[in-house]
Amino acid sequence: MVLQKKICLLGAFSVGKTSLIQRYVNQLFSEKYLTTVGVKIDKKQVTVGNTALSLMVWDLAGEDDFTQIRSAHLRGLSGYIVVIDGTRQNSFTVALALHERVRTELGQVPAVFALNKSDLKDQWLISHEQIRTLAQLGYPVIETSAKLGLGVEEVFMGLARQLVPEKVN
Amino acid sequence: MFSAEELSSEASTQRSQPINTARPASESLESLDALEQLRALLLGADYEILYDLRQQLLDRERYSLHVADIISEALTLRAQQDDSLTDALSTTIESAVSHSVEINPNRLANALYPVMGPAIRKSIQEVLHQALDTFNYLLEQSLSVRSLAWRFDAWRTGRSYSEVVLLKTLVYQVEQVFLIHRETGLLLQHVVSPQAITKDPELISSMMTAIQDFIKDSFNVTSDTSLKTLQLDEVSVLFNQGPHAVVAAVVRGNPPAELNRLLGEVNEQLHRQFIYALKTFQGDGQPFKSTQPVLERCLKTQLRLKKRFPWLAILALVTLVGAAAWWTYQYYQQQGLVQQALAALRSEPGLVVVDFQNTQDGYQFEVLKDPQARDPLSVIQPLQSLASKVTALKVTTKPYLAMEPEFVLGRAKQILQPPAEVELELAANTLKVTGQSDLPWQQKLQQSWPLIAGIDALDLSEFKVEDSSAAQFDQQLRTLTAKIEALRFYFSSGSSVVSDAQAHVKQALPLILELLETARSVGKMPQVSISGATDETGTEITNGRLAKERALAMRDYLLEQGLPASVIAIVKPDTGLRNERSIRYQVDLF
Repeated sequence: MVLQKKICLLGAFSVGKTSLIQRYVNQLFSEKYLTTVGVKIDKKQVTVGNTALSLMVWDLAGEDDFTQIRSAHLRGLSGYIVVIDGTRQNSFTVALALHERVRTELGQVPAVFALNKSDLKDQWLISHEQIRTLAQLGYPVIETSAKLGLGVEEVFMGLARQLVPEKVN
Repeated sequence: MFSAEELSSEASTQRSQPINTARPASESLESLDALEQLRALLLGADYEILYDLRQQLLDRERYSLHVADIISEALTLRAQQDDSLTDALSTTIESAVSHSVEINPNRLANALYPVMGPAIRKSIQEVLHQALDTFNYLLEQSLSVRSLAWRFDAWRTGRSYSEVVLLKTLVYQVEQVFLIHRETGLLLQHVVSPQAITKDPELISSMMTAIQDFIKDSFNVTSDTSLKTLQLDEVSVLFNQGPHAVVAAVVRGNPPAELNRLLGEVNEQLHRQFIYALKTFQGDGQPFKSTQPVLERCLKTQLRLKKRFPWLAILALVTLVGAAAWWTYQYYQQQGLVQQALAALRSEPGLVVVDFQNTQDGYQFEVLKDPQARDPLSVIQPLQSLASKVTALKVTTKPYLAMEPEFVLGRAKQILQPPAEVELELAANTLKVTGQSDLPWQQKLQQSWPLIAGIDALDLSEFKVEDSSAAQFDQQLRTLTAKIEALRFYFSSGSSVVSDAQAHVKQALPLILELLETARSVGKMPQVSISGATDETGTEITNGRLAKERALAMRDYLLEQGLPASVIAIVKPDTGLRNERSIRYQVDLF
């Protein structure tokens, strides 16, 4: 049995969402969709226990002062990954706002926080206090580096494990 | 008016309270509690009616009887309203038919028997008709002037021929149909026409949903409207939005309005059939596998080609049938001739057909031939002229000895070459020789017959040998003897000297030598005696001595001339001659 699940990658502009998934998914559409339509969809297939999951990964254009994530794109999602750029304080704020927005619109949904750019950890501006705040939200917080390919698989698997119903798994 | 559920609920509520279901109306009011009294006061006679109605619902038998009265009308009414009855019953009926076939296949077979024949005939007719149309279409595509023009266009524009054909002939073709979960944009099912090329349908399904959302958001359209069509060049995507699912059809060409209606019908049908699965969809596409046949109804194609009489296909078929008939005729002709040739060769004495096969050069017969038999080619000569039109008849021969009596007899005659007076017959492998012959042939017969294959014995009971040569030799010897004994050689008076004897020797010597040879040839040995004679003068003693000297002198002379000494046996005096000064010869054969 293959379960299809819609998941979204959320985060501020240029936090590395696209880079994060670039090498780990089946790509059909080019990156220009992100700037034109505001979303690019890729597919990642993972297996959790005995369950095969086909994750439809909606890579939403990064949110900033000029771009807002469309609510319609969030509809029907089964889980999401919030990506934070450790070197940008603002991305932390945007991430929490996005997380709160999803919770408001869709309720409690499986999620994972990805602290990206771990290869530049010496330049991180996010404090341990903030990371602790994230962890207290009750979702997995995983350090990632799209550049070095670190932690990416764990992010997807961390979310996938939450998506598989207990009785199925 | 109460619904069945409400009444049933009430009934279950009341079931918790002890109610005497056997209680009639005539029971005295004194036994009722306060609630019962109040109920009786409020409802009166209606209570009894309601009570009876409840009992009717609770009693399965009574309820079934009531439903049985109206079930046909109810089904008819619902069938007139929509197709939901068909959808609802189809699974049950399918299961029931499967179950019936499993239990007793004959029952369904007997029921279907009257319609199976016509259905099969119609189906075959339809298939043949379609095959003819397809065949004609293919021929037109490859042979017609129009197809050549399209090929030229394809070459000129750099497109593939199939693209050009599609552009020229296609009104529209539904290449793919997606069934998409409306809320998540996830793909529930996907069907694709055989000619179409498709990419990852799951991704496309999600992306189409994203694009719809993008358009809706971008242009601030009201939320109850939705995207109906996307179009780019000759490709368009038609969307039919249902409450829980979207049917999206990718169409090449100009889709007709009916296609939108069809998508709507299909979407409605799927909502009716799969409403629960759609509402509770959690990413498992398994329940939607059975939607495939319904979605395939949307894979429509319409070509611009007009329906024409398939003359090209008919012509090609007629040609094919004609060629097949001609080939069959030729084949049977050829087979007939081969069989005739085979029969002729087999019936010919002294020929044995050991093999025959069809080769590239014609039919090849392998024949064993007795030297006495006819040439096989001359046997099949009458058929050669006919056969040359369809095939060639060729013969290879290998020698063998036939054991048939006529061939054994022929072989005997060829080997023995009997004289005219001799006749040969063969009976039970015995060669019977009749008549007479000379000795040499008889000797030849004796030497040769054991070597003739097929002859085990010789019958000479009616055969005689005539030895004419012996008589001839006797006669020859007698002639030579007479000639030799007639010879005389004369001496001078009182002399025994042989003089001037060359002429005598020339005559005598060849005769004696011929006698010697002839006698030897018949196994005899000649002996020539020489005796001398004298005249009457002189005394008897002197004459006697002179006669002997004359015979000796001739003997010596002949020996000198080369006569073998063995021939000259003795010299004896001639007693029969008087007054003759000569010698003479006497021949004896031993």
